[in-house]
Amino acid sequence: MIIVKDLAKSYGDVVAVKSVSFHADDAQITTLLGANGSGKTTTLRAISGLLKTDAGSVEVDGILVADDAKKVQEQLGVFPDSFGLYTRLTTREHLAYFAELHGVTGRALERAIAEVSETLNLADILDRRTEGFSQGQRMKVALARAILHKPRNIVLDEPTRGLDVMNIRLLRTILLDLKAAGHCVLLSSHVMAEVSALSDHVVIMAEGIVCAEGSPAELVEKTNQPNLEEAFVALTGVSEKLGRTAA
Amino acid sequence: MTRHAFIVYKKELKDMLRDRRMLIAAFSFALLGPVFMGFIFMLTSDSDAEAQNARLAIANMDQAPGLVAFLEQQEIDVTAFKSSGVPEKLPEDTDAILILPDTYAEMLAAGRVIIGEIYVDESSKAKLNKGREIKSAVDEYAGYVAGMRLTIRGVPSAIVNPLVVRKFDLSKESFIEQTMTGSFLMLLIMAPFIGGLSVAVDTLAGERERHSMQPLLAQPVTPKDVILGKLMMVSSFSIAGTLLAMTTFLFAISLVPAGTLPLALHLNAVTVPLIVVQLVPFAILIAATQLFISIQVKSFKEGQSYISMFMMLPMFVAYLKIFGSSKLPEGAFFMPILSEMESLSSLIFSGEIDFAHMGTSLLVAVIGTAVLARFTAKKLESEVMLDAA
Repeated sequence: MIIVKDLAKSYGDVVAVKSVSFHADDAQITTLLGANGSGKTTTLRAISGLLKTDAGSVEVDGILVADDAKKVQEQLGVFPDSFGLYTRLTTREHLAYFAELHGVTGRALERAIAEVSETLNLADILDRRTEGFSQGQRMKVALARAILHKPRNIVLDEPTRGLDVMNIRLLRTILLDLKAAGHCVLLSSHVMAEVSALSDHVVIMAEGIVCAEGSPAELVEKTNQPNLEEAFVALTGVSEKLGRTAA
Repeated sequence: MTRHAFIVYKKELKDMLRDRRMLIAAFSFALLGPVFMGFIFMLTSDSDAEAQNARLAIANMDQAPGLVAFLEQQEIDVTAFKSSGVPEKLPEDTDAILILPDTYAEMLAAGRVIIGEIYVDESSKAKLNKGREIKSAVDEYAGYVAGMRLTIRGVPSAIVNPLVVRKFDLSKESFIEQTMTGSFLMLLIMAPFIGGLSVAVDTLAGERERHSMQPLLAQPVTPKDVILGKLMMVSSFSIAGTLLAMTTFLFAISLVPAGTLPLALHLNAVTVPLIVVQLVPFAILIAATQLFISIQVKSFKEGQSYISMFMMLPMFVAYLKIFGSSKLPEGAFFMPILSEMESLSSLIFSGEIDFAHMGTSLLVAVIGTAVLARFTAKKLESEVMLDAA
């Protein structure tokens, strides 16, 4: 479970996150929905222990990131905003490297690689160097790397970017399986269809604050809009801003 | 070393060893540099006139046994020369030709003035020196004969020859020795710089550029362990490059005919381990410095530019030692790199341990590595590391 309270973060004069609070429960998929620059990535980086926040707190399974970021990282599987693969290593070597950093070694490591390989259909690329991998294959390696050590909480920053339909469907299935297994899944996205299809809980962000949160159905109902996209526009005031710009 | 640092080290080493370009960059100097230098040494040893006796060919030598004996006493190798007019060039293995008249013995006995001719070749500094040495010895012989004649006639030779000056060379080594030792030391000093260059840039600036830094930092591994693992990897390349350069050089130098080099290498069971003890911490210090530079930049290309500039440092210092060591104050030799070169020079060329310079360089290496690694790890904690170029 992830609890974010009054999170604030600036980079010099640029305010990335003004004040963000929400919680992501176990056995649920929680999505941070927002336009580019709304503060989603900064929020996820703060949860991953990669940033020092200016104010507020982040708690993962009862541990505050500010108190022990490494302990928190042991509870997390992170799928960052860029895949960041080592092109000279094979998929298996990638997985072994990151799993070993989480203390998974020997037989347990072999078993974990075999399991994740089966889940993500990695057999054909398991012993191939990642250089020249397609976007879908790179996504699979990055996702396998994030879930191999079986973390309670999985954080994914825009995981479907650049993926084709088949890979998006595969990713969706895996995230739903993780949810069914009781994991806390937190992802960010600005793709409405993906959010609607996956999310139990949606946190709408704009300009570094949380505009609204609830299930997709609740948000649609609250705004009296026909779908989540219209609800998002209404809640974030995008149409007003566009109107102002046009004027 | 922590478990995490070792995991990072293993991965980094595997990653780098698979990059052929990186291996060529790391070890080409260690393999080719010493071979080239050995070749240069071989050429130098062939033309090393300074180390050999001056060689004089004398026409009508049989007329001048006294002169020959005198010159041989002066360590000048004398041979007979068959004169046929003015020689066009000096015969091979000869530094000068002295043409004596065929009535030399008769004229000498009669106490008449003898006009001889000396032919030299002043086309190079070495040949010029040899020619001057021979002319000076012949003049000295003339003075000696004059002195003897006066003594026989009851006149002390000191009246016409009141001052006799002998020249002694106080320099520790000749210029050519200085150049050769300096070149060899430069090779050893530069090897760790080149060995670690590409891998140091790739492991931090490259990792950042490839966006793989963020996933790594999101794992439960401390920046200290990441830097320690990477430092061990870069150090492995630096140390391997240095030891390879040394081995290759020794192999190349073993091909030079014995006794033709104007310097002696004191490599034995005592000095070789000490040379390694001296070089390994130095290689680690250079690796730490390269990592420190690498973490300041955002891309491989940028890192390569800065580290290439850093490469000039050992070259400048080595040239300073070769050409300017007599002008430097004593304290300057305790500076990094120079203290290293001083200590290595004592070990390799004298077979002696220079405790002061060795201690200084080891201390600088240990403290320098610790400080640089600490700063590099600190920088890795910075949020700017998450964003690539």
